[in-house]
Amino acid sequence: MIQYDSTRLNKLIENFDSNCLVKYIHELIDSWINIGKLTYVNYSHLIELEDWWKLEKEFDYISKMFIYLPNEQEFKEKLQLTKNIDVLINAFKNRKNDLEELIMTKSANFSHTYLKNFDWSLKLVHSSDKFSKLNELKCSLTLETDKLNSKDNLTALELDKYQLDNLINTLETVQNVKFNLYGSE
Amino acid sequence: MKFRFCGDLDCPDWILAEIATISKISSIKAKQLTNLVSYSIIKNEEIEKEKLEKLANDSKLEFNDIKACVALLEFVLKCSVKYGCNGEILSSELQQLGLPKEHSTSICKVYDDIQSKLEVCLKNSSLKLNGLESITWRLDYIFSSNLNPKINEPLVNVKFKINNIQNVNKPYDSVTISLDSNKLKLLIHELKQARSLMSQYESSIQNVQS
Repeated sequence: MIQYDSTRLNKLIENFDSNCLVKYIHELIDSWINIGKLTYVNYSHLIELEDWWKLEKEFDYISKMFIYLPNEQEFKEKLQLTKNIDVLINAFKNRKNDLEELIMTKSANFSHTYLKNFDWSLKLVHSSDKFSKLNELKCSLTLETDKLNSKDNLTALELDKYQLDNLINTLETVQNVKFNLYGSE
Repeated sequence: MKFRFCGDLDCPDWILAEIATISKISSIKAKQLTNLVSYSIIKNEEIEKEKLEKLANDSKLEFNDIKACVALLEFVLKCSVKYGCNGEILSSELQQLGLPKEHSTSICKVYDDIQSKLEVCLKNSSLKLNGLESITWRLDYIFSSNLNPKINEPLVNVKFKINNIQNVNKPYDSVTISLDSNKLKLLIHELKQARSLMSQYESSIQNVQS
């Protein structure tokens, strides 16, 4: 892990105006959470390629620092930026949820089972070879995990109303246990 | 000629042929055989050979004839349940096919008694894709990691046991997912939404049906 050096960061972003810095931060976080791409070509007039890689590492470090330090003033003092410090903090504040989730995902995702996304849909099973008027409602639930380079990252479940009730009850039980133990809510 | 118990289609020729076979046994034996066939469908088990042999001997029929009667009754019962045909209609249609009145009455008496059980059985045996068998869970609490020394977040691990219809040798698949408290809340909220929509649609369907 690199050690934070404010002089180095100041030098790396010296050519960035506030707009470019905000755009960079958002694109960088988008690329971390796989919803966008950060391309050097768009910033090549501001920074050398070698420094470009260093800049990402610096931001990786200060984003963790931002989440770790609960006090904004403390974060500002640690950063010691000569300009655009408020712009940077605002951009981080706007993306705090994404950054927290990213850290949580990375911390919890050792076995690549972390739930990344899910979708559900309702469908009517009208009839089958066994029964001509089934008319059963089913909920299709697709769970997407973060398995890298794998086709197994999608799990599809088909739930009837009893199974869906059972799943909801189970998840609510877990939620209640958590609240009782840690008083999160 | 169209028959309700055949889904308003023609009756297969082999049924016509076997109606003549089952007419050779007494109506009491026909009732016994219908009972055996019904419970074999419900329990998804084959009828004991000895029982069939005894029926064949008592009725002075070849064993193959009794097997043909079993196939006939299985077809009649399954199709009647499948197409929601009631006992009265079934009895009348079997008579139209040439089955004596006593036989059709005794078969339909068994059918009336067992129709709802057969319905449940056939509904349950309809094709199911990735059905959920069971859920197990574990709740962890992450205090810290190398990325952030103060995470302090609960992490739920849920393991789903799912029916795997693609692999006969491995009928169940296990899938584990982990989710934090926000994802858990969101998942519960969304599933409740799905459940409430399901109830709404269900009552609409019942209204249409009634």
